[in-house]
This record gives sequence, C-alpha cells and structure tokens, in this order.
Amino acid sequence: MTVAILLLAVALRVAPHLDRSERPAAAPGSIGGENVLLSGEDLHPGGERSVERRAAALAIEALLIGVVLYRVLRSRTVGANFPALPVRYRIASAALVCAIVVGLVAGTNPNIFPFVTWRMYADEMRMEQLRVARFIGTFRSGRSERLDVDRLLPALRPQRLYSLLAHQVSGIRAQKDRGARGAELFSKHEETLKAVGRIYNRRHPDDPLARISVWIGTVARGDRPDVFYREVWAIDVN
Amino acid sequence: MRRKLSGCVSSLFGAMPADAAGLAGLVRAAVFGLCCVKMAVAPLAPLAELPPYLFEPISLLAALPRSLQYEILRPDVLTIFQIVACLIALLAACGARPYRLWAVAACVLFTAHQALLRSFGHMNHQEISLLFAAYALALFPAADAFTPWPRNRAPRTRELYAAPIVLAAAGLLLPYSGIAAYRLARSGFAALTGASLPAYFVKNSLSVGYEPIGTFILQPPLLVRAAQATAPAVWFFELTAPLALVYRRYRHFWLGFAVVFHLLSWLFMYILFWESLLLALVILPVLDRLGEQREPSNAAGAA
Repeated sequence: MTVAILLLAVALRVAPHLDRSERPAAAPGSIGGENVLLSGEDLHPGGERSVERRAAALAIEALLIGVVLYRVLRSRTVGANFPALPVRYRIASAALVCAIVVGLVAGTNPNIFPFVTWRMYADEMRMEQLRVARFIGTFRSGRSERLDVDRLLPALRPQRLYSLLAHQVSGIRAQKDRGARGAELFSKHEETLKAVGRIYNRRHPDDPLARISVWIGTVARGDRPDVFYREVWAIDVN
Repeated sequence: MRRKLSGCVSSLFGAMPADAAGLAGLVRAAVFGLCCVKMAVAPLAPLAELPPYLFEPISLLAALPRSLQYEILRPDVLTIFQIVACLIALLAACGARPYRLWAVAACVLFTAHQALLRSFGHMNHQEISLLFAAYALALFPAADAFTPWPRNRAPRTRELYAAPIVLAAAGLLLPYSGIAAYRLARSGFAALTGASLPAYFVKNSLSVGYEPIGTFILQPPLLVRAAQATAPAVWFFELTAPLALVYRRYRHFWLGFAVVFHLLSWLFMYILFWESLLLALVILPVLDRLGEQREPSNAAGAA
C-alpha cells in the first residue's frame, strides 16, 4: 500500500512536467488571476531547477515519506485497529490516508485544498535577498504611523492581507519596464490600498486615513547591521 | 526519567474517559469544538469590503457556478454562513443525533470556511491538520459516548472507536513529515544547517512590525547560532512525527518537542499553529490510553 500511495503521488507530481513547459511551481500565491507572485526574484531566490534536480528531489522526498509511512503501516497501532474493521471503514480510512500523502507530495493545485503540499520555509533565503514591505498611513490630522493592515480584517489574520499587499508590491517591482501588465498590476494594487483605506476610515471616522505610502526595507550587513527603508510610492485614499 | 515523563502525561489527563467510545467522543468534542472556535472568532462580513478581484475561489468554492461565487461575498450571506457553520460544528462537537449528518455538514462547512479565507491571497496550512482530524471523525461513529445523547444500544467493537483516533493522529502527524521531507529534497543540507533561519526570523519580525526584535536578531550572532544548531533536531522530529503513532515513549518525547517547537516558532517566527498544538495535547495522550486498553499488562508496568 505504501508503494501504491507513493507511486500515485510521484506520478501526479511528474505529470505537469511531461510537456517540458515551464510552469509555476504552485498557483496559490497568485493575485487577481495573475501569477505575478511567482515570477519575482524576491520570492524565488533559488530560481528554477533543472529536470534532473527536480527528479532527484522528488525521489528523496518520496523515499523519506515512504520509509516513515511503511513503519507506521506495519505497526501494531495500525495492525490492531484497522484489519478488524468492516470493509467500508477500511476503504474510507485508506482513501483518507492516501489523499493526505498524495496531497503532501503532489497537491500543488489549490482547488484540491485541503489535500495540498505543505512547503513552508523550504526555500533558501539569504539576508541580502530580503525585501520587506511596510505600509505607512498618513492621517488627516497629519500624524503618520505604520498600518497594521491585518488588524482591519481579523478573519484574514495572521498576515493574509499584509502578504497579499506585499506580494502585489513584489509583482509590480518585478515588472521592470512598467508596461501594460505593470500598469494593470499597479492599478489593482492602488485599488486594494484604497479599499484598505476605506475600511480603516469606516472604523476610525475621528481621524481618517488620507494617504498610504509603501516602503521597502532591505538589510545592510556591516559593522552595524540594520534595516533601511525607502519609499517606493504613495496612494491617496480618497 | 522515562517513567516520570510517562506518569506526568498520564496524570495530566487523569480525567480521561476509560473506554474507547468515550475516548473517541473526547477527541470528537475537541476537534469539532476547535472547528467551531476557529469559525466563530472573527466576523466574515468585512470580507465583502475588499475589491472582488482579490477573491479567487478555491476548493469547494471553485466548484460553484461563477455567478454564485460572487454572491457569497455579500455581508448578509457571509454572516448567515458563519452562524450556521458555527452552530453545526457545535452540534457535531456535542455529538447530537444524527451524528453523521452534523459531522459531515460541519466538515463541508469548515472546509468551505477555510477555502473562503484562502481565496484571498496565499495558501497556508494552519488549519489543515484540524480538517484532516475532522474528516477522520466524520467517517466513524464517534458520538456514542462523551455526549448528552449516548448510544443506548449494544456497544460496537472497540476498533470502530479506536480507528478514528488513530486516523486523526495520522492527519496531525503526517504533514510534519511531509514538510521535513520536502525541505531536505528542495534545499539539501541547507535544510539541516538552518542557513536560512536568520533571514526568515528577520523577515517575519519586520513583516509584523516588531522592528526591535528583527534588528536585535541581526546583531548578536549567538542567538541565531543557537537556533541554527537546533535545526537538525527539529528536522528529525518533524520527519519522524508519524512514529509517535507507533512508539509510546517516542510519543512523549515528540509531544514535548511539539510544545517547545510551536512556542519557539511563535516567539521567533511569529507563527503559532495553536490548533495543531492543542490537537497534539489531546490526541496523543488519548493514543496512550488506547494502548493501555489493548495491553493492560504493559500499562501497569509503565505506571
């Protein structure tokens, strides 16, 4: 069963590469139907991998999961509880485990959520590559402060709205020439920031937001390592 | 030392039900209770204020007709959906009859709730283990005990109650193994040296606005080196997480690792998968109790 599960997972993972076209590794990061997030250098510091490297990585991944899964399926915990079950329960249990494992290895399509890959913090990242977006609000009273955008929409916590905006910023910055595509991305970003402003102002009518400026932070490492921010653009909320 | 550790875990959960039906009921109450809390804590209606093009329906929502997908984003629809979903998850947590109906409905609604949130922006994994555990419990009769409406007819076989607990534990533990395997496959030995950890520490602290912590991490290298030194151990415990299903003693060590790991991730990375932590704290000791029922002589020895 372990082998069958892993073969299925590997086949599903390999299938998208059979036509040898370069496809994004995963769609979940896209915004407004655009795969902009996946093309920015900030987000893919490792760059595209060769077919051989991908195959080796897949083999290592399948082997590691296979060894652990094999030990579990051969254990007394499974042996004492599952063979005695009625057939329909055994099928249902096997299907659930199979879906979880196949999803972990090959589930790059967000439409099969929750049976998807779990890949957080798998990419290498160097301090020099770090780019952090910051959103500074300027209010009608004249004061300025960092906007905690996630506090505006608690349902999207933690960091979903912030990440969405930060990814929009990366996507726009990745469009070097600001052509039609860059202009469209910027227009969507502008509209999103204005929506954030409107949401804030409905909740804080006493001192509404007038402007949101976008800053990018980079890390400089020297005798005194520090983070340096520079403003890249600003949007009037009203 | 091992006996003390085992004794500590056992005494922490001394009030646990004695039979398999009760244990399945306890896990059911915890899992669907957590689903209910997750859906209740933040209002969904404000999502309607976001520009519609940010909404990219995934999962169950992607299967809806296009016209209906955007009807979901009305404040009244979102509020009604949230109330109904919470009530149904609560009924499933309480083990109300007919249990299978409420449990399946709760799974569908919780999946839709989580898909809705993930339709705005990136995919994350915080609630995925909870979803897997809920699916496992919806497949089996998990509401015969630990409920105001216990089953009066003859009890079913022990395996029917034990299987969903083991499956829920597998749903919790397998993803840890998956990420560890992928991390090594993707980044090679860099995954074991923690080379990228400092950059992730700084990125996360600056993203949430903890500027002093981010710059502090940059300056004294000792803290970063200490964190990097733990990377191979973290990777090992993640990869071997499913073995906590198999070995009782390892389960206790793994539970200790999970508590420390999640708390340190919270402190340094600003990520707290509190649902996974709570699930581990409920399900793994329940597995111990199940094992004791299967092997009473061993359990006496361990105590």
